[in-house]
Amino acid sequence: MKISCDWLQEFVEFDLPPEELADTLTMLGLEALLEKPRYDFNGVVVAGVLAVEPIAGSDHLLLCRVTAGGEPQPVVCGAPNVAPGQKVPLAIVGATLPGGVVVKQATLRGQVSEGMICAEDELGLSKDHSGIMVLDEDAEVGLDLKIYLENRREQILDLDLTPNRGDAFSHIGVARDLAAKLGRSARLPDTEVQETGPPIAELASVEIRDPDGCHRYAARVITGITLGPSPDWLARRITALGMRPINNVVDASNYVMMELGQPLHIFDYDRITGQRIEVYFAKSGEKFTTLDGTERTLGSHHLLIADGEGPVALAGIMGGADSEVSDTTTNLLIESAYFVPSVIRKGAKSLDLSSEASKRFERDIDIEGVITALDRVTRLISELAGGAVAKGRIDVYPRRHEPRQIELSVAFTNRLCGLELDQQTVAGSLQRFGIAVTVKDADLLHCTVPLNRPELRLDVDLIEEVARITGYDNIPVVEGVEVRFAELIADEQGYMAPVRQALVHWGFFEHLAVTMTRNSFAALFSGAEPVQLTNPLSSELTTLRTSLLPGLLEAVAYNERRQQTVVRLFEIGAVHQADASVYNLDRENFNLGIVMTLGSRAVGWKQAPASDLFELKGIITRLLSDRGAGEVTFTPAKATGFGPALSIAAAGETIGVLGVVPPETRQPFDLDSEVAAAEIDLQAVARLAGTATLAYSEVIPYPVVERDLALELPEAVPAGDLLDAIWKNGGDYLRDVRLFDLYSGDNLAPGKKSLAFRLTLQSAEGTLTDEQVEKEVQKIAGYLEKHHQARLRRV
Amino acid sequence: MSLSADIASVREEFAEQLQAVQAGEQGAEQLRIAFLGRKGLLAGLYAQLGQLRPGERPAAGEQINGLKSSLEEQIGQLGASSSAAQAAATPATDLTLPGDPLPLGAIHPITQVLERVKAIFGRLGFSIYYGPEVESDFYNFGALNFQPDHPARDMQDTFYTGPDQLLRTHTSNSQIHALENLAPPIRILAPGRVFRNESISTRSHCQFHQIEGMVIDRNVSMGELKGTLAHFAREFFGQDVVTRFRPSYFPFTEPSAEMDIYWGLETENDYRVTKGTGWLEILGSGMVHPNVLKAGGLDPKEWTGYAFGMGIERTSMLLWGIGDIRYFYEGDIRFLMQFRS
Repeated sequence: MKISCDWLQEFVEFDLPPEELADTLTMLGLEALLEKPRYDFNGVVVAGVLAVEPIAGSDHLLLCRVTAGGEPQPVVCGAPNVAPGQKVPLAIVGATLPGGVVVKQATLRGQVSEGMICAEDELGLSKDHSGIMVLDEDAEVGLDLKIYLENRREQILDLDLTPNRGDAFSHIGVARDLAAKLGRSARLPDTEVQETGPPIAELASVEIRDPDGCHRYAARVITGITLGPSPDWLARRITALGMRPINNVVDASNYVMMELGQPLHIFDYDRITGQRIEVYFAKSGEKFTTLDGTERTLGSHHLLIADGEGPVALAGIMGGADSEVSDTTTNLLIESAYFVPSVIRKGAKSLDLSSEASKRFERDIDIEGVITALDRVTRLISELAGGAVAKGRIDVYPRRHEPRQIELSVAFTNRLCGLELDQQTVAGSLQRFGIAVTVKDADLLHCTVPLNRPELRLDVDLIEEVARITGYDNIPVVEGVEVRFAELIADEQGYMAPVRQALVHWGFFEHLAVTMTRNSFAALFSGAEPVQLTNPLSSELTTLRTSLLPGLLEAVAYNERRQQTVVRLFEIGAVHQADASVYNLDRENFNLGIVMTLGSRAVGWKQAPASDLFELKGIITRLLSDRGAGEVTFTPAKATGFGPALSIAAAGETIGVLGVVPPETRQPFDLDSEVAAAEIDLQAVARLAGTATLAYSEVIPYPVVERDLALELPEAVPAGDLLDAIWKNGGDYLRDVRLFDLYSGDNLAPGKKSLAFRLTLQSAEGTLTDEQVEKEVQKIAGYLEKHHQARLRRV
Repeated sequence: MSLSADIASVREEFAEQLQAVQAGEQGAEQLRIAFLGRKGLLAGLYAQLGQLRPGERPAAGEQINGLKSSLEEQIGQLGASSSAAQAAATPATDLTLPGDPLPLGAIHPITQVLERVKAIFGRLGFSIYYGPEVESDFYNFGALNFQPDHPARDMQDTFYTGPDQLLRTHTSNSQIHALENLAPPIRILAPGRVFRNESISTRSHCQFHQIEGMVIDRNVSMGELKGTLAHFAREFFGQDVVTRFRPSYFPFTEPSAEMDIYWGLETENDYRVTKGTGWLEILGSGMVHPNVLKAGGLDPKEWTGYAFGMGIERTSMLLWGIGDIRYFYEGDIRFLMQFRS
């Protein structure tokens, strides 16, 4: 909301320069920015028009002689409103205008033009292109237009009000806060009305049929007014606050709304059938055309203002076209009412229609101010447009509001704020806001809150008022905190940091994808029923992700399109699935997703192995066994979305999947690179890791012996089976077994392969003899030959 | 044979073999092992010492020692001259070849900021507590004192996943879960992802991260809130940072405060981000509203508390001068690479 500094002076005296005023209001909780327009032009000066004559051969171009303080110069102008004696903005040759336009000397219809007389839109000041901008008669010729504009500009504050401060949606409201801060009092504008017409009861009646929507409805009637343009001071003021002047009646009602915060509605009295007003909720499906010409379908929560025939306005939101003030209007019915905030909010929201009126009603208004504003606008209209004001006002007030009574403990105030104020200071602070305070006992204050502050409901609301007056900056800072052991709880996700750190050191970048994804992506890697948004932002963000892999693949594709073809990414994040038992963390699981492109990596000058599935398998083995999650096993398995894949288990529990992403799964992402991916249930890992204990055993002082075992086998025998068999049958001395060579080719029979294992043997009792070692190795080899179709090649 | 004869013959044998080494027929190391090694000829001589009468031993020992140092010296010279020759013969390793390019990824900037914030508050005894991303209206709004049909709800456009189920619009839902599940005193920090139904642009996104803090105890005051948050600002932005607290509004705190830091007005960008005031809003805070305490089952007469919340993306953008919020979610490694640490 915009506030004029000048106008504010009418309600409270202050001598703060605009910058300081903005700062004071900001520190009071009314965040204020001083508007500083940017003039997007240079070389524009105030010029006087000396003479204007038509140009032969043109139906609209005029040759003007203008002066910017020096010699008269010719300027060609096409605007119909240019006239001798005017002061106008002149862009001299060489001036720059918005959009980077540079003014040059030009020749039009044979006439030299040295510069350009500007319209407001050409200067970027407004969208007005109806004619050139005419400046004040007393404007100093030759003055830079920027200085001219700055001198005349009203200082405007742009207030970013919090939704609780409906009371500050007006100049009087801001003035009340400022007055409280400065220790002064705010004054109301004149509201005395000269009533010269007949009694209002003879002219109109009001009935509130649904008082749940409208607690108070007041009205006045003025007859015989003269509609016309607003005087300059009024037009200027509402223009400065961003409203367009329309006529003296409409402008007056907008003026009073900005002054007092009460939205008003003015009907053409003669178009109110039966001269009666009724207020009631619409029927569901009822149609109404608002004054913007839109036909709207209403629900039973929409409140209507109706006359004897039917609806004439959407209460508190927008009027109807039929009863609007028009050029022929001479008699007025002025509405000033209190509509229930939630009714207006719901109504406006469901029509996606927000107006200056609805914004104020939904933030709650001063129910007493209904009358003040009614009288104020009546007085203003009769001043501006004449006419006779009917005697008295209609005031239907079925739901009376009583000032709220709140008890406030001074001790609690001090305890909550960390202040040491005495009772008198607390009482005094509240009184500055017009809150009536009586002392109940040594601690308690009995407070009566005026109706212009409806949002003050509880003692803590009053405490904030005390803190605002005291100034938040004056609350002493406590330097230190007291921590009790009972406050300390374990971080449930503490396991994530070392996982991240390890992956980063293997060259992976952490990615954070968007939780929302396409429905089709959610099904790529998971059969789980996904959670759907009922109001998605776009068709690409409709569904909560069930897997981290689509987001990671999207990112790999994003990089691929930018010539980055070696990409390693991971994400740790929540995945979701639909389930009847919602709202608990169990339905969203924290997973680890990993993707890496396969093939050669451009590393250093030494030869490095290409990335393949086994590198990722090694990474996961290391990652999981370093977490202490127990023995990790990989079993070839079919997995949704994957080509060749392995299911990952730790301590016998399946915790994830690892595999190659086949072309058909990459296709939706337009991803060409070959990619391996893995997804692991990180919460399960953390759970399993929590059960593993670290076991220490003495370092064995005796030497280790290494023996290589080369075996020839049918291609189909899995290496994993042999490793398992060696471990299981390796005897007491086997400390390690490592596959160090895999070969198939020329020297072998067709369908055969060769696997070479390096066995490490060691005894805890003493140095192993050659005979002991030989016996162990033979035992292992014998077992493999017997059970795994292996043939020993050499020992 | 006497020991001294043996010594003489070892000396002769060495002289012969030394020539062979010098002629390149044999290696210096072999020579050393044959004579000075654990099972070498000198060891044999020393072994014979035991067979002598005790009176003869010192003189014989001295003789062997003399031979040993003579052999050591000759072998030493041999080694020195041969390695010098070798160095001259083979080309030097090109030490300017680059070191192995070990892989290094990066932790996401958002995670880095979250971890920094967690570490700062962690030192003050704050524990980490998590709330869910998919939430009920009650935990996200109702229990946090958002009245139905109040304009406060407009501050947070909401994604719904069901009639009473939504994506949390703030991490403040964790406040209610913590109040329900933990016994006071409570001192928690709740980081996480939040969602707003806002169109995606350079400055706003439909998802971002927040970190929420809440302290509940018997005598917690705004003074402690101010002290704690000012300490955080100094730790995070530097010891010289200037902070200010001003009244604000959140349905779940009363009184409410916004903490600003003085950012300065030196560049065009400073003007833009501070709207010409020099001040920058960093976090929202306030004293936990009595209705929130009640919703969490606590008596507001007995317990007081404060809460605060901060947007991580916004702070990260300020910290590093990142101009477009969308960079955070694209996974562009040219972006992520810059956050290696």
